[in-house]
Amino acid sequence: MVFWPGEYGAVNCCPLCPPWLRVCFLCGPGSGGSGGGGGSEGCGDERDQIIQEYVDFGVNFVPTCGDFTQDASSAHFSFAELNTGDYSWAIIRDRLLTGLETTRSNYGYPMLVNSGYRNPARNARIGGASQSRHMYGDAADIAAGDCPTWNALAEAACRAGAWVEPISLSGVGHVHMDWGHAGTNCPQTCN
Amino acid sequence: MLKSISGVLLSLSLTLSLAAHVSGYVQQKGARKIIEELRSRDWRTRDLAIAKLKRGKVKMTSELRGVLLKVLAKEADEYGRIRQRFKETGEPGGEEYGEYVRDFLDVIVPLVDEQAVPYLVELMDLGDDIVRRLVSFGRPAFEPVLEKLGDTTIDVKAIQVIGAWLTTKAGEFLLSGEREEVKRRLIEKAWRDSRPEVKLSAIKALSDAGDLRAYDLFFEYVFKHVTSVERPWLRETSLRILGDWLKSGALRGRLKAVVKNKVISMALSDPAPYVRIEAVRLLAELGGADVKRVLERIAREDAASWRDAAGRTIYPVREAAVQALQRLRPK
Repeated sequence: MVFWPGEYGAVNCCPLCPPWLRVCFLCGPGSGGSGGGGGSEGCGDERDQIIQEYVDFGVNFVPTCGDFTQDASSAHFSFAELNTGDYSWAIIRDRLLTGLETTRSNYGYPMLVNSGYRNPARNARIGGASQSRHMYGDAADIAAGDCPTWNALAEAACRAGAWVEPISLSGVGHVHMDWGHAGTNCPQTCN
Repeated sequence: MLKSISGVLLSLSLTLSLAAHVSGYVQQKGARKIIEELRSRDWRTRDLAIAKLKRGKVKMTSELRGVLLKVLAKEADEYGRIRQRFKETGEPGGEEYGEYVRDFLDVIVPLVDEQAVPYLVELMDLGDDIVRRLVSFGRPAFEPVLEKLGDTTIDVKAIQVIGAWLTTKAGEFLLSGEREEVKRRLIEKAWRDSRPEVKLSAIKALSDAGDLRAYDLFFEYVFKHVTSVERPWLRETSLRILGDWLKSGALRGRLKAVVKNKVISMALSDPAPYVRIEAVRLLAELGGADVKRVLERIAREDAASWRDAAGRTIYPVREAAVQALQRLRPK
């Protein structure tokens, strides 16, 4: 399979790919390029499928086997709550767990996760952005429902260093917060 | 021997030249495709182009930069419409579009000059980095930002930019008459607007700038918000304003004692840890033997905790109290 640079799905994953030629021969999932933990033999389980989705859907990040977990959790957020993908494996970053715990503590009440990790195929099915932070394992949508709740959650997340999406985009139903975008965002609140 | 070396050199040079040619061709092809996608009416197609740019596979040309600026204008227009529609109908623009625009801004913000100011002003609700960028533009951003004080969908961000101009070097471009005019506008905003976050943001900007008219006009309002409002952010901002007034010497005498009692009770029992942290910081400014005892108790007993990425338990309010005690000692 050959991709031109900048073409959909082109990822310079193969260490043997000559950089001057700028044409990449895909060597399959886990073939290097974005960190260790892979190996040309793959992970040997459904993670290989998920990794291939990252390539197929043109995500600017190709995870390796070591990026996935089946049990990451924190004091108040279980793996099952945070994994809203199609598989039993998910990417759940420490920065998300710490961020959510800090947000919850700031907020002072339990929080309901509407959406956490999404594998690329699921993200595409629900119409997510091509580089949605939900696929990077550092984003969550927390259920809100009315303005006072939205404001309190957004402000709590903002104080926890999150990039919070403005309400005019996410709507009053949930607060999108992530710890992957450049810097924080404390958007205008709901009135 | 010499012949064979020159043969090898010739073939190497031909290979390199071919490689450079192919590389240039591929670059051009990639850039053309991206420009085509960026011109699409569908944001999902523009999203794909931005993803490619973020991969850094295509060189930034002046043509590409020009197209990106046009996209910036388009997104600013679109986001302005979305804000307005949400205000009127409650219909959101979509989380996915928001994530795309944020990605787009990651690419464009470092590239833009002051021509982009009107567009960045429309998008300043999408990242604190945009607010900082507008602050750094100074004069060219002045009028467009001032105008947004009248737009209730984005006025808090406009206040942030103006507040930064009043207190940092980036605002040195302001003539003294303009500085006065800006403060007058902030006072008016704090006075007339009914939304507490707008009022408190404007008062905070004034108190940061050391304008004591804010103390005279709004002390009662701020003091009321210290404990009476449900939103922790408003209580925290009120505490910060009181801290500014304390440092400036405006808050003193009997009123200072009244404030101190309130702040002590908040440091001990406000439900939101980040409000307690702000109260603890303010206590360090207030000082006194009673404060020392309270801070020691908080440093021992505050319950707020969470685990960081390394699995360590963090006690943020206790840590703030320890720092406050260190600041108390030299007094």
